[in-house]
Amino acid sequence: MEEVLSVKGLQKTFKVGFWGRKVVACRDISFSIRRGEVYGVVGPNGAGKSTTLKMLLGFVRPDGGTGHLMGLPLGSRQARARLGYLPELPSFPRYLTAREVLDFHARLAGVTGAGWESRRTTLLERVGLARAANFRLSQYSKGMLQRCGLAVALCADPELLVLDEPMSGLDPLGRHDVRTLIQEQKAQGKTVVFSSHVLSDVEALCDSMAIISQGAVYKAGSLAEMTGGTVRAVEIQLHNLGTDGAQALSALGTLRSVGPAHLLDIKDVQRVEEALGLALKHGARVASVTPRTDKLEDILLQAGAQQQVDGRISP
Amino acid sequence: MMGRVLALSWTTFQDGLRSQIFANLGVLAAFGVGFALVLDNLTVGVSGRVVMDLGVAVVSLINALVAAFMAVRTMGGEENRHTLMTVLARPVRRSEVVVGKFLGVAGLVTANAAGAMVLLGLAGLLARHVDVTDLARSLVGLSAEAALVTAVTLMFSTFAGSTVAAVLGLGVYVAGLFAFHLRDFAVKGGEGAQGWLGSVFYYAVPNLQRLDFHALNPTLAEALASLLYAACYVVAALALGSAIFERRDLK
Repeated sequence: MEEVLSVKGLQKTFKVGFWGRKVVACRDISFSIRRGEVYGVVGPNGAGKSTTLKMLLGFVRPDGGTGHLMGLPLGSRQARARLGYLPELPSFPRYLTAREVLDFHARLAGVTGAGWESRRTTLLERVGLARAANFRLSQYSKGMLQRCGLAVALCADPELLVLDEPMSGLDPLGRHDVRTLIQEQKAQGKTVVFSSHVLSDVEALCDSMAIISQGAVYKAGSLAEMTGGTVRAVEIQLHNLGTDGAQALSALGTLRSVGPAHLLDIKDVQRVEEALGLALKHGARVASVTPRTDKLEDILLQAGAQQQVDGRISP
Repeated sequence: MMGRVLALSWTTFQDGLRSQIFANLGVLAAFGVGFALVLDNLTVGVSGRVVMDLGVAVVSLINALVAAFMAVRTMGGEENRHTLMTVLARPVRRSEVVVGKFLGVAGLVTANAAGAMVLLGLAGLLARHVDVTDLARSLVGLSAEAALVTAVTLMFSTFAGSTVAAVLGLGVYVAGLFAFHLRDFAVKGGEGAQGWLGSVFYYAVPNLQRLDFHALNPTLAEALASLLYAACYVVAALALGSAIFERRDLK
């Protein structure tokens, strides 16, 4: 499938404060996104997610690395003409109405003509702002501004949607709407890339993702590739385990009693057969054997823990 | 390109016109003109003249405040609130943003000055001293002056924080009002450091006294030359601002 976006080795260092102290925001960002994919960019706070998205859009110039958007240089005007963007906590001219803001962005994007008015109406209805279309944005709630931002991002019918924390500030109903909207875009063959802290959203929506930690891609791939494969531990549920059996099995892993049953957690998966043999030998009944693979949350926690240990990177 | 610039300027104008800052400064301008009328009643022998002199001075100050605050609000303020990012995600050049915002704020200050001049005309009627030509001439000068302050403040906003940009913009306005004194300072300094420093400041700071058409009562040729001078300064400030903004990272 055609690559819509590809970046390799993107780096960015900012100078902050009066003395221009250097802080590395990104040191090695590499991933690629195929057409029609929903791609998640996840990671702990300060990992470099927003800076990565800003480099894609040309708001921030990378110090190193290469990349292209739809075959065009990152941040080029031609590339920006084909994408829609929703920033984290979007803001618009406060004294304009949603209708006026949409008209403004349509003109910037070169969307004009008779078709625009019906598209504007459809968009406002789609994001649930049809009734509030003529209210000034200063009267909007945070959630309404987020919805307006989504309508603005979609106004030029973009091939690629870049959404920075799109669920931020939304109530459960609003989050559901955004999820549906992302799925609709995917169904239309559009590509969506979004950053989020909400792992359930990422797991539910994304075909692939990149976990960013300390300014570099910690892991990238599909959810199955990330979480499947490696078995981290095995949990065995046993019934009728006597005291002798419990004593013998304690040496192989962590044993705890849960009601009438015992749960044995074995980290060394090579010793599972030995544990099962011992359990049967002591007259226990094996109720279940459950392999435990990594969840996305586990991977993110590992990434976060690494970032906490290493601290914010400095050159 | 022109379509995008016009869209940017119209939105800036529309949003600014509805903003509280603009309304508050407009009210302040009305109070200033009213105050000039009161003072005029207290003076003897120069009836009517005080309304115009003080009124134009007040409008000039208020216009400069509108220009500086609106320029800072539309550039630095929008950058802080991430409003600019949604604009720059469109196929827009950064220089188009600078020029569009300038035109929007310049339109606002011109509208502000025109409204204030109407008030001043009404005040002049009450004081039985109205010179419509002088009002129109002053309006042109004040608008050019405020456009210049707008361009300079926008330029500062492309690299400095909102407060710093506003202070610098208004600082240039104040210095520009005393440009002739800067020249005197340079002349008195002769060949020394004082003379050199005075000359640098004199040429760097826009000479806003040239745009005081109310006081100078210039000929058409002189007025056009002054407007051309202001236009050159505006173009230089916008070009510098665009060049800086083009290279900036938006965090």
